[in-house]
Amino acid sequence: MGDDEQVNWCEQLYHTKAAELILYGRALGLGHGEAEDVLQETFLALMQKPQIPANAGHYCVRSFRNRALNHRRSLWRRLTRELESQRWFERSPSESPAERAAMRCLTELPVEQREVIVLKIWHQFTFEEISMLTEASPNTVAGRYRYGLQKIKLPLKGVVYESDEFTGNAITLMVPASSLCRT
Amino acid sequence: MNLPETRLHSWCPRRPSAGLKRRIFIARTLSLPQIARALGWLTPATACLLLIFLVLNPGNTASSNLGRQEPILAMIMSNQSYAVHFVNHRMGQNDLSAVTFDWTNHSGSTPSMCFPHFGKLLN
Repeated sequence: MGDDEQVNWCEQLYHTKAAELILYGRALGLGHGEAEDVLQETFLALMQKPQIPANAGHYCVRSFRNRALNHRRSLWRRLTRELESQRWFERSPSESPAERAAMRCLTELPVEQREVIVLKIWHQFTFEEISMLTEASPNTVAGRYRYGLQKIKLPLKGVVYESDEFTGNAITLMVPASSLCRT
Repeated sequence: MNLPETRLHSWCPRRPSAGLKRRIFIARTLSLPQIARALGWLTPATACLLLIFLVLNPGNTASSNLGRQEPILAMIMSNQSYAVHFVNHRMGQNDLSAVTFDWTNHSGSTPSMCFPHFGKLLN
């Protein structure tokens, strides 16, 4: 395979996967800059491969995960990560306070839960695939997903109450919801 | 996907910075072969230039001065009395080679011993 062809398929993969991989990096506990560094490492390594791997997308996610877990171990990096921006998603004009609360809730979930949620929703992995990647049983993975999603739903439900009743209950609902996320 | 999952999916993950793509793809496609090619002739050429410079200017270079100092320093380190001699020599004190024994140059000397005149004896 020629160099140009290699760069082409990697570039296509980059376009379809980069933002989701950055999000996955955040879910694994990296800062945005760190996730970018790991993404760069992953793609540079991919471009060194003589052949396109079978199921390149999954291969890329697995490779990214291994590198991210190695990257996360450094204490100095952990300290600098605390100073970084907390935002995981692009700002949207239609974004409601309840959605912002739900996004914050996602970032505050335990790593195992948010990893599964990110893989399932943004990478469209099946529970079987996630269990192979994380080396946990499919039942465990499904449990983590359900439990995490339940916590994110609470602030989102607040939006429904707000639109139905317009009583301010949404605010009273969101406050305990965000504290629930950490458990 | 049911309702909350659809809503979550609609959240757009934060994109990587614009420079990242350039760092990965453009830098890579340009960098490695070009650097390798450039180093292929740049390193020997630099070495040749340096060698020519050293050969043509043996007296002015710092390395040649250093080379001249090196044996003296080594000798001072190994022989402490030579260090004293070397310093004195530099300062012009206790330098035996600088002392002129004037009296050895005069022709007339006053010997304390008297020798008999051999001419008188012969006569």
